[in-house]
Amino acid sequence: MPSGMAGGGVGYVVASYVITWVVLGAMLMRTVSSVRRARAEYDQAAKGEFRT
Amino acid sequence: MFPAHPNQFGPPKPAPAWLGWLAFLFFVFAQVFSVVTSPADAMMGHLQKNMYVHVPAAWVAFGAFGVVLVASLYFLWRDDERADLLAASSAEVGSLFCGLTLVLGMLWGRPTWGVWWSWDARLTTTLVLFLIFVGYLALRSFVEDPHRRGQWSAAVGILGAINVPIVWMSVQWWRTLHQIQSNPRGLSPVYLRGLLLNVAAFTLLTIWFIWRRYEAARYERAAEHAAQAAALGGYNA
Repeated sequence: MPSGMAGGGVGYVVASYVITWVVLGAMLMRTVSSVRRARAEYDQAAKGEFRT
Repeated sequence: MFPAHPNQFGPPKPAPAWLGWLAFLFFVFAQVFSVVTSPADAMMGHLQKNMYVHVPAAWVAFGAFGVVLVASLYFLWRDDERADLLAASSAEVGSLFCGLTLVLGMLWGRPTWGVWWSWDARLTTTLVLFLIFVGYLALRSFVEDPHRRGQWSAAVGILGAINVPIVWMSVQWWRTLHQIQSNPRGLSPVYLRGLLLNVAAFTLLTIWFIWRRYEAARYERAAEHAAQAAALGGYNA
């Protein structure tokens, strides 16, 4: 087993999963907030359009 | 002038809420199940568990770039802006997973090869693929005219997607540090189960991400068109 894998490389595995979860969690937040913001903009623009 | 399309700029069909919950819960299940049930490998120890995130991330990135290819070709053929928005959404999600693949690969390479990075063919072609799609996203933010933006980014998207088979075959065409493609037939069932579960979970998550990003892009364009119509008084004529 290579020297970097002392302990079976548990530290690297934990880092892999933490990074994956953080990145996907950030993407989830970004995606949900972008849809909400874009929908609010659309609703506002649509109302403005019919008031004009 | 961008050609008019019957429902091009209307609000999109929203992604069903159950799909998001299913994708999220299935992802949690797949991750926990694969980590808990797969034993340490005789050669790699627990490092083998990196496969359950690195390989699915790479495969879904390739799939997302495949969607970019098809949507970009459709856009160039039919001039349908919705295809351009779908391509952009897929490119964003694909870039995210491609970047993740590179980082996860480095976390596997350091303890296995003794280096974080090597300019071997698989790593280099994957980095080139990632940079092409980062360039694609940057290009979209620089060009304001939707039609021109669609055409230019379609060209870059097609060029980037053509790189996917080169990345895939790089381990066969050149001598690389990276092992050859993961083949489910060569895996022990105890590892295969975890891999397939995670590939399915990542795929579901990717579909949901693309759908929702596409939804946001459609709302943004619909809002722009509604604002333009309001400014021109088009609906009061």
